[in-house]
Amino acid sequence: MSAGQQVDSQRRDAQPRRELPPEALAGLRAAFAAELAERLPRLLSISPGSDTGLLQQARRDAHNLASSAVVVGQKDAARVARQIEVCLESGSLADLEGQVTVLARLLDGWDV
Amino acid sequence: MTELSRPGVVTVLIVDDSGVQRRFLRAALDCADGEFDVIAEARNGREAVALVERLHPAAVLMDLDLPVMSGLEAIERIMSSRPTPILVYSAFVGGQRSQNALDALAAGAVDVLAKPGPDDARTIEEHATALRRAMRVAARVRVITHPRGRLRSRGMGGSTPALGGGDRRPLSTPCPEDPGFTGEVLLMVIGASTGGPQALLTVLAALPTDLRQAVLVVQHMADGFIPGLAAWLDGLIPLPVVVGKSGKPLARGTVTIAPSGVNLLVQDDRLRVLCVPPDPGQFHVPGIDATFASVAQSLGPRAIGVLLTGMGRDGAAGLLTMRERGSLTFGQDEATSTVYGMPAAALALSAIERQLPLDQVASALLVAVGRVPA
Repeated sequence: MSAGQQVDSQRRDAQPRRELPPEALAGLRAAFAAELAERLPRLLSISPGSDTGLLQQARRDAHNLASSAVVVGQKDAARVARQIEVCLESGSLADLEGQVTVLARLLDGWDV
Repeated sequence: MTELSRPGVVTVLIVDDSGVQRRFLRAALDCADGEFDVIAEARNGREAVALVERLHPAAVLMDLDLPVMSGLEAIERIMSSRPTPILVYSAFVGGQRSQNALDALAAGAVDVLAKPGPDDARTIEEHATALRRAMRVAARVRVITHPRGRLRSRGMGGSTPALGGGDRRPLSTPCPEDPGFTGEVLLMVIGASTGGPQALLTVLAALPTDLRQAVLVVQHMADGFIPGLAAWLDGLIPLPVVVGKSGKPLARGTVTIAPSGVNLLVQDDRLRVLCVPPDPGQFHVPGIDATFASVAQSLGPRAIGVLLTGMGRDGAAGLLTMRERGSLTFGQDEATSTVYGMPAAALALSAIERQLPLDQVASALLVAVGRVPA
C-alpha cells in the first residue's frame, strides 16, 4: 500500500459513523420475517428422535436465526437461538422443545 | 481489474446463506459513497468458488458456516485457483468455530471479523463501520496462491523441521536461574495485526522446544478469538502456547498470547505481567505499543522486539522505545508483509535495527540468542 493510499484510508476511517438508510432497515426486517417463516417451522418440527439430516439443518437454522435476530435488534431471541444451536451441536436435546417454544414466543407476531 | 469494476471502486462478492446477513452486508458496503460495488451474492461455498472464477471480484466477504460446501473449503479452493482477498465474517460461539476461523486465516483469508452477538454493546451501524474499515484493508492486500491440502497437515508443528529444533548442542545461553547468568536475552516480544496469524505461525514454528527465552505475542484480533488463536498455534508449533494472565509470569520456552480487551504489561525482569484497561480512545486492544514500552522499561537489552505485518502504526513507537533502551529490534519487510503498515511506520521512526523477510525472522532471533551460527 502506498503512502497516499494509507492517508486516504486513514481519512476514510476518520469519517463519522453512517446510519443505515430507512429503506435498508426495512429490507432487513423483511428479510428477517422471510427467514423466520422458513426456519422456525423446521425448528418446531424437530425432536430428539429426528434423523441426523434434520438435526443438522436445525442447527443451521438456529445458527442463522441467532445471527439475524441481532441484526434486527431481537437480542433476547438471539440468545435463545444461540442456546438451541449449542444444544444441537452438543447433542443435548433434552431441553430442546422448551427452548424452541420460548424462541417462538419471543418472535410471535413478528412482522415487517 | 475485473470487467465489472470501475476505477477506484472495490468489487465485492458476498457469501452467506442468510438473507438477512446478505442484506446487512450489502447495506453496510453501500453506505460508503460508491467505494464498494457488491457485484454478486452466493449462498454457499460452491456458488462462491464459481462466482469468483466467473466474475473476478476484487474482494470476497464470506461466512464460514455454509451449506453444500463449507466456507473453509471454499477459501482453500479460491486461494489455490484464483487468489482473492477474503475477509471472513463469522459468528463466534467458541470452540470449533474459533478454530475454523484460524484455519481460514491459514488457508489465505486476510482477516476475520466477528458478526455481532446478542451481548455485543455496539450498534449495528458501528458494526457496519467496522466492516467497511476491515474491507478497505482486506481489498488492498496482495494475495498469493495457497496450495490446496495445506490444512490437511494439521499438527504439522510436530513434523515440521524447526530451525534449531534438532539441535542438541549444549545451550550457549544461560537462563536466569543459572549460576553466572550475566543478563542475556530473557524475552522475545512480537507484535502483529492484519496477516499476523499466518506470519506468527511461520516464525513460531521455527523456534525449538528447548528455547531458553519466553516469547510474548500481541496480535490484534476480534474479541473472543484470542483463545482460539492460542489453541490453533498450540496445535501447530513445537512450543506450548498459552493466553497471558495478570500476575502469571511469562515462562521460558512458552509462547504467551496477550489476552483480548486489555493491555498486557511486563513488570520486571522476573517477567511478571499485569493486564490493564486500555487507554481512552485506544483503537487497537490489546495494544502493541503499551506492551513494547513496558518491555523496554523492564528489560531493555535483555529483550528482542519484532514487529510483523499489519495495518496502522501500533507498535512503531513502542519498538522505538525498546531500541532506545538497548533492545535488538526486527521488522518484517514489505515484500513478505500482508499489509506493510506497522513495520513501515516503525522503519520511518528508525525503530527497526534489521528489516527481514518473514522466513528469516526466526533464524535471526535464534542467532541473536546464540542458538545458530550467524
